[in-house]
Amino acid sequence: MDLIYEAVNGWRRLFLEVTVFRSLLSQCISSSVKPFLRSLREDYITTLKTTGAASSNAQVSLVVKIARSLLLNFLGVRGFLLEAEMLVNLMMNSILPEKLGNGSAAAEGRQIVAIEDGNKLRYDDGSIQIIGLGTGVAAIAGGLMRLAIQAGGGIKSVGAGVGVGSGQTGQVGAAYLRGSGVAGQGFIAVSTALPNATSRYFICGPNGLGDVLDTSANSYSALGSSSGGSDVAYIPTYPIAACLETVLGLFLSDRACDIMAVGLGGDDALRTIYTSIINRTCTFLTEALGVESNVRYFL
Amino acid sequence: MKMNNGKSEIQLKVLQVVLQLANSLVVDPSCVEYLTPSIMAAMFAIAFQLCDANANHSTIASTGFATARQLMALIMDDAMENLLPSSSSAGSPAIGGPAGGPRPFDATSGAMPSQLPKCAELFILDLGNFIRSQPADWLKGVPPEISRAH
Repeated sequence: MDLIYEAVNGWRRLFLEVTVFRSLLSQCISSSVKPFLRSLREDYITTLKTTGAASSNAQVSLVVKIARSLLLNFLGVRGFLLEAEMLVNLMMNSILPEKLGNGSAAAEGRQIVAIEDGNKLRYDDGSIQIIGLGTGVAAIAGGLMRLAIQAGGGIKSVGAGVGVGSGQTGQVGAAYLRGSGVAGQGFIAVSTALPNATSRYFICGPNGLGDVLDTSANSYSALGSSSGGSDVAYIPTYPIAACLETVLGLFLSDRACDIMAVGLGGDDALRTIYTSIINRTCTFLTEALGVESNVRYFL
Repeated sequence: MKMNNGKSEIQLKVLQVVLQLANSLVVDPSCVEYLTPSIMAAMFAIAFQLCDANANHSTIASTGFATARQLMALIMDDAMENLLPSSSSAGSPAIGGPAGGPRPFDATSGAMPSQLPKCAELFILDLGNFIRSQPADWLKGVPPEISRAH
């Protein structure tokens, strides 16, 4: 992946101006990165447990760095807007925390389980989202990660299994952890209770975003909203921060205005991308800052 | 040469020779034709095989990866020189493509005048294969698990 990143950034003009190499952006480079974006948090947890934080952070950084380079440098390339929309969807899927109704299936969000040909995202409820057909904000916002509370206190993505290999489809793993195994790593504590219920919702550790959390059960109970902290889930901060920085960087760039001004078309895809970013980011911040305990970390 | 059993000094010398040979041939217009896709594939294969972090000294692994990077730079630079007009601006290109003028060799990769741009295309395709844990089409001597060590 290092070589791909160097090639794309070091010889950007080649990929912008030569048809043969321009086609490689979608057919080869973007298609190689998408599976890694889909399983970003699961892979982070898996690597964290086996080789430590440095490896897991480096892995996330490299994947997101390539996606960021593709989005910021090639958004205006003809035929690449659909790929950009797909990349943004996958990163936004990694940012938004799930919504659980204490195990109620009706309150669970959908999870992307496969990326299929034809710019399709297949969710675990059987539904398929086709990128680029003006699906609108509502459909795009449905791709949320899903949690299940285990009897022993552990928290895993629905579908069992522990960890998931990069590029695999139809598998979900332990994207969220509590207790031993990842002690000392930065995790976000989020409430799994229904909205409007008495709950606590954290987006950072005691000392700031990405801070090391004490992963002992007692600490979790203190942060949780109910007895034993059973309504608290923890999601890793690093992948979220990386994806959030990327999509906000895209949002704040002037590429979209340039593209629309030149009149290259693809306005629908651009509107979808930017609307999705606004919608999900606002939702994420609203729910997090709506809890008193979180607000103090931003003062 | 059996790469896995050679001494570290010999392996380092091999990497140096490979890189020096490639650099020498590419700067001479009368010799660049000897850098065929098969020759370049063999050079990349040597560099990647010596990147195997499990079987080699860390210095060799990092030198092998650095050699692969420089070989990539060599073929990508040649592709830039051969496929892009020299009059193109050095700054950010116009949105949606070049500002004007015909784009040489725009139709198919088979129309490229030099073999190194073709090597660049094949190399990028195989990098995608390696990321997807699929066997290489061009770098047939490089197993995906070795290339993913870096």
